[in-house]
Amino acid sequence: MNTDINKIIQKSIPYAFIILIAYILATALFSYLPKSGVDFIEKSSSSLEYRKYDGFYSQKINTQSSKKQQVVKKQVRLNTYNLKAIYSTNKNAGWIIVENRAGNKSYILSQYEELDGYILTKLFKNHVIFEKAAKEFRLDIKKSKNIKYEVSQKVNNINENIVVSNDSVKVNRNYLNSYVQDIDKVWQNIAISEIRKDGYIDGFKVNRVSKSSVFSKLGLKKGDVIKSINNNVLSSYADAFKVYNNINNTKYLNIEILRNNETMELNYEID
Amino acid sequence: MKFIFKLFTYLFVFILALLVFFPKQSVYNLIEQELAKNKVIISGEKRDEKLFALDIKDSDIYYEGINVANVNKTSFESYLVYTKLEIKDIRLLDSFKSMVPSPISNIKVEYSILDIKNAKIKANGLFGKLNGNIDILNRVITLELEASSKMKSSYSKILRQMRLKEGKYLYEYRY
Repeated sequence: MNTDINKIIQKSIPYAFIILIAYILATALFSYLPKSGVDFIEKSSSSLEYRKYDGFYSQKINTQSSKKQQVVKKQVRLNTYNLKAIYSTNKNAGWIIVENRAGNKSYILSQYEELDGYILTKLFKNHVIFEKAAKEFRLDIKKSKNIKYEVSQKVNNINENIVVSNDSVKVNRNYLNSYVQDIDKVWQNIAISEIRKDGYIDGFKVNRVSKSSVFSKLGLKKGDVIKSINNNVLSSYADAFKVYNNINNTKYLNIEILRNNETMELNYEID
Repeated sequence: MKFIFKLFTYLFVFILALLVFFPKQSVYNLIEQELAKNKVIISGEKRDEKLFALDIKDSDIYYEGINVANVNKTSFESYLVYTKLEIKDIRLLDSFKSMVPSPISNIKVEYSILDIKNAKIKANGLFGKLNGNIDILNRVITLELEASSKMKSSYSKILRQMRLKEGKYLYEYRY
């Protein structure tokens, strides 16, 4: 019996060694290979939802408050500065960027900040109010020559899919969906290519737009560089695709473009 | 003769043990990292390591950060002399359905030492049936598609890029 066991042990020793060698080899390979794989991490910056606040551009609030002011104080136009940008809330607060007439100095002012004795008191969509010595001074924003609302207005007459009313442009959701659901239709009507800066994507250039397409009607032109959509900077194809995939859940569309080296914004309401 | 038989037995046991102890998940990590260099990311998968195989379930495929597809099951088996990769139930994202009808039911890639030069590809799904060959030495992939009626009617644009021969669509790609 003992001899049998000895024989079995004797015969199995080489196999045990072979298995051990295989194990050592596998362990050596394991220590050399990576311990973790790659997981997709979503960029948090691109997931911010774009919202347009009622009252942010509400004319009702603007006119009411400006009327009140007109009763109390007389407004004088302020010609010393150019108003470049306004960020206003529905409580007429916020901040602005102003430039002196010579155009060589810019200032960023928030509500109740002072500039040469003028105190910024109220901010509206298209103008702001300064106060000095119990007198109100109005400063209007200069509209850019390149903001061509007439592109949409022309459309208003010929196509009900895009409706222009006062300052807002409404786009019919079904009309937009006819493009969203058919990617071929998108590529038939628009051609875009990435713009790279220091090796990174810095927007998408519009190389071709079909005149009868929604893109043309929305005001996009050949040569425009789309920088951001709904405040999501387009720095990768994924960013662009994310906007495309989320368009069904979007109520407002804000497209920031670069045209003739000037930044412009196109705003739409999806109805 | 007895010595040769013994040698083969040792070799067989060695290969078997090596396959069992082979760090399959680590190799998979390496594949993931190599794919990531080409902007392809496999994410959110569940891994199941078996004695001779590695199963990957419910993985999302991203290309350049875009979620292009979801794969229900991927199975990788290797017996040293025979290797098989099987991908089951591939669902493309809505936006990519205009390229190929989704889902793709099955893609199988097989490699055997009986045919060292070539790896075989077989696939089927709503698009029809596909047979292919990877010529490893000449780095050429040839595909032969028996297109379904849906593929012929709705995806003619893709088919136009292939050569039609005896009712089958042929495509050749050099890498």
